[in-house]
Amino acid sequence: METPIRFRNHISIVAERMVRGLVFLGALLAGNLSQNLPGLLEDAGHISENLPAFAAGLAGIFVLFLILVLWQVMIWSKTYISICENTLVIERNTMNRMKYTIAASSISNVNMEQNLFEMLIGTSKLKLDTNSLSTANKTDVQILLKTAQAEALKQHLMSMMHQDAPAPQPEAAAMPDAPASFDSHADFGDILAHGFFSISLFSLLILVLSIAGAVFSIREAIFSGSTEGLAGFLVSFLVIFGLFASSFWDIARGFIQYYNFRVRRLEDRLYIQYGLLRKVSYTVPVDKIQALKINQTLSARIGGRYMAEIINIGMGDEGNDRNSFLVLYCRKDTLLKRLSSLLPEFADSLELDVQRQPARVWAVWLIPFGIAGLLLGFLSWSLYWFQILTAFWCIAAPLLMAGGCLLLMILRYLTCGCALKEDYVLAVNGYLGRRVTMAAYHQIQYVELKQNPLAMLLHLQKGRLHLLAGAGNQIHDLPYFSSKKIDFFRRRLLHSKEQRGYTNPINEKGEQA
Amino acid sequence: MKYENLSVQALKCMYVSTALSSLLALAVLGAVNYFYLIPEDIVPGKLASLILAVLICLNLLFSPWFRYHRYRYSINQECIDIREGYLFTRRDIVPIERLHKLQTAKGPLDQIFGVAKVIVTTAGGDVTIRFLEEKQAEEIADSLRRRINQIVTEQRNDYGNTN
Repeated sequence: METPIRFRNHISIVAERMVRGLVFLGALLAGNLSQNLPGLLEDAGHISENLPAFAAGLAGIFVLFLILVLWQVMIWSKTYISICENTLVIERNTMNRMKYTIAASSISNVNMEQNLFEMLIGTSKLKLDTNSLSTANKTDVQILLKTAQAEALKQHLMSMMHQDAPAPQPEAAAMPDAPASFDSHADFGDILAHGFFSISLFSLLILVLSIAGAVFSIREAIFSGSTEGLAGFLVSFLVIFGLFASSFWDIARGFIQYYNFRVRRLEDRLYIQYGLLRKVSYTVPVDKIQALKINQTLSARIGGRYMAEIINIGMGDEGNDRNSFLVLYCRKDTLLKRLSSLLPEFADSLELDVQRQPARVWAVWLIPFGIAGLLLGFLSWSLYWFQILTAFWCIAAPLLMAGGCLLLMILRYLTCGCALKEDYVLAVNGYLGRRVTMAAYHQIQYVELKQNPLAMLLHLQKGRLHLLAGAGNQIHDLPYFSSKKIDFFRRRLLHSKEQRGYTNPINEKGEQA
Repeated sequence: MKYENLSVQALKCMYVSTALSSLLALAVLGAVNYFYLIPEDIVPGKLASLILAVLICLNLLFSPWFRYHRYRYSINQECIDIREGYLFTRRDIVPIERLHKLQTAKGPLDQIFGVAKVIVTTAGGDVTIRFLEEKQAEEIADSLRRRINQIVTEQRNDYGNTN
């Protein structure tokens, strides 16, 4: 029997956990401060009168901090990771004992990550994900080691995962830095274009309103001149600054997060690396990719740009990495070229003819539109009765909202559609933006189909595809389509392994067929 | 595909569960009216409550009957196909080879009327076959378990032959 390999996380994990905890506490404190700032400013003047109490408070905070550090060190010292035969075992022998056993065959992804602190001290985080729906929204296991040890462990785990497959080439895991080695490498211009086309209208609106709010607050504080006005200004400025920073980061993230984005396809795996302040390296088995998404924001639709994401367990779990990019925003011909080399299985997604929803869907939409209209009318009349709205707004507001709903329905009709092909389902959704989801039948876990009474009369059906993915990608809407296609859909769903239209065109040597 | 109907016990169970939820909703509505809307004479509130009360009563009278007659399920070697609903119908198609887990469950009302539900779990979520007779639920769960084992064995044999 093979001797198990047993080790612990790198001790710097204590510092990382403490920083995370402190950041969380800092955010709570900032929230409280902003609410109580005028009172606190007043009390600050009386500190010298209560110095012993103030010092005792500070000492108490320090002792609490020390206890937390010692607690984290104890958890670190009693947590062991073992690799024996075909399993990975994580044991924590603290007061709450825990033993977590994972079979190598159930590991779907082994990814590496390095934040700024880890880059400075030479460590890397290994993130493991399993083929499990219950943990689809988070990383199953995180192991922090010296970078060289993390690389070696990754290689070992990959060989355990695919014992019957050819071992991955060493150069694939090492990811040479020369751009020529990658199938896709985003330069500065690509990152800039991606950031620009990723900008969300909502974030832009919040940013503009934050700036306007800040200008207004400053003006008010200057003209009021009183200390209460000043304290109030500080509070509102902090809140507006928070909104501004959040929206600004949402916009700027597109420009920074995917710095040096590069992807390589080798045999049946995709190797994805990117990051400036936080370096990330994903290894994605192609057979674990549940679906491909082609996204366009409004600006991308106008500018003729497309972006591709993959849906699988292991990418898109963490808050910072919600998107699982495969190809950043680029023109259609560039996207087609990159998909053909990275995921030829899905390269047809751009060329396939997607049919819009049948025109009789307008009749079906009458039901929800009518119900919404009645509710809006009743709400307006209630607000008029309570004398909150004038008679004019009582009529104008519902009409405006109805107009808005109609506009959304038109946008939805022009954007949405679906295609049921021999091996794939394509679902197109969106209003201003556009999202195309392409899923192979054999990856669909189950299908949910819905009809309202009018849809039943008009032989229309809409549905939802359920995939093995995190919460944001588990369910994909199928817009209305003709009920006559249900039998075909059902047949392909149940017999997806027969007549499979694609085979892996990348042979074992990593050459394209 | 041959679709199965539900037993009469299911209809009784549906009526009782709808009646209980309707009574609860009417009680909450009544309390809001008694303590707030009527004393304050809020006309829109009273009108909304009246409309809601009528809808709840109509739902209680008609929805269990329609749901019972619309409910169909079919289980064969390939898939589970369930059709249910009242005004808005829903159909779930679950390939058998996607099933990971099987569970039978009985709530308090289910136990009174001798019905049970079979919950099948895939990697994409759960699907439930409701209001089955207890014996039938056990038979369905057993046959699904046998079929899942058969699929796993076939997959292992295919994998062994490939290698």
